[in-house]
Amino acid sequence: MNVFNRIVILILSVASLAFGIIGLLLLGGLIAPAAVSPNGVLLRQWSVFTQLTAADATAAALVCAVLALVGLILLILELLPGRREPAQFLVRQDGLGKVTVTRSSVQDLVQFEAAAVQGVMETRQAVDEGRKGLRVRVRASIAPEAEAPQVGKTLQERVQTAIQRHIGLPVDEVQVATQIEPFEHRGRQPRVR
Amino acid sequence: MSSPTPEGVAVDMQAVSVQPLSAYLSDLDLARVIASAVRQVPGVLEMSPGRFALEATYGPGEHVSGVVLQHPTPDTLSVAVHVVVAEAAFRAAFDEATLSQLAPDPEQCPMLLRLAEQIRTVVSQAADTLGLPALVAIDVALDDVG
Repeated sequence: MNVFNRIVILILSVASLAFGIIGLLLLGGLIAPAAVSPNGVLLRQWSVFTQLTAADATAAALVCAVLALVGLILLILELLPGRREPAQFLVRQDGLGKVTVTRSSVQDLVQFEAAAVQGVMETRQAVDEGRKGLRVRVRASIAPEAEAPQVGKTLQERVQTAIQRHIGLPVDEVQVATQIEPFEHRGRQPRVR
Repeated sequence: MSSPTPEGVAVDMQAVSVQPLSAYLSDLDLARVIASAVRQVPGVLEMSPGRFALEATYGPGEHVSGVVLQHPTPDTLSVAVHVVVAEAAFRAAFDEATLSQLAPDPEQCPMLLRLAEQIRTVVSQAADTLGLPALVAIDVALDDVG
């Protein structure tokens, strides 16, 4: 998620949390509408909460509680410093600056290399950064007549060599999983051309 | 008010001629020249607008995608170049690698690093030609393959 989207989610989560809490406080009679209406802004809207029937107030309280909870969860998820995969990998850093390559480019390279292996019909790949180098996971759909162990071994070797040779990044491990069944396509084009 | 003497004019012209070309160019012009030079590098398909935010040099009413100029100090400059790598270059590197399978050269520089070095070289050359201030960094981001 890019920075703009994250800021939008943060704003929405805070708004949802604030609305939920204010609604609950108004419904419980703990605060007056005027207390959350600086200069009378939104006074009419907040006053609706104090004029509800008992049944409507219960429903409104449920809605407010859900909104507050969802807002709180989203806010925590956004603010928690979770483990985020790098979007790009540093290939070289020297006196003249940095050379970086995006994760998608590395995935493209893995895809090109996998497409050249005999017996491989289609692949899905993921790349992340390990301690000693890149960790690559390849799922390959292979031809029924292909020998899965042999295809897997060839894929491992070729992907590792390709990344080191064409990009210059060390490779920690290459995990390959093969399957005979083709991948399900959910409106997307196959990755191997 | 006295009009300038022919000698005076000659001196002024000399002063103008020793001014680096960059003194007359905006950042937008510099970025345009750099982008044009980078596009000529074999293996570069096009300038990339960046993957996560618009990476560009901005001027009045327009921008040059893929080149970000920064002035860490008034007399220094850093350049970040974002490019899309041509898929054909990738494939050519694969073919070359396949051909040299029997005698791989362990000293050979990886294809993307070679490309990055070529980009840095043309940026340096463009900077020299324009008489740009000292380049403190030339960052190269290989954003995509197309």
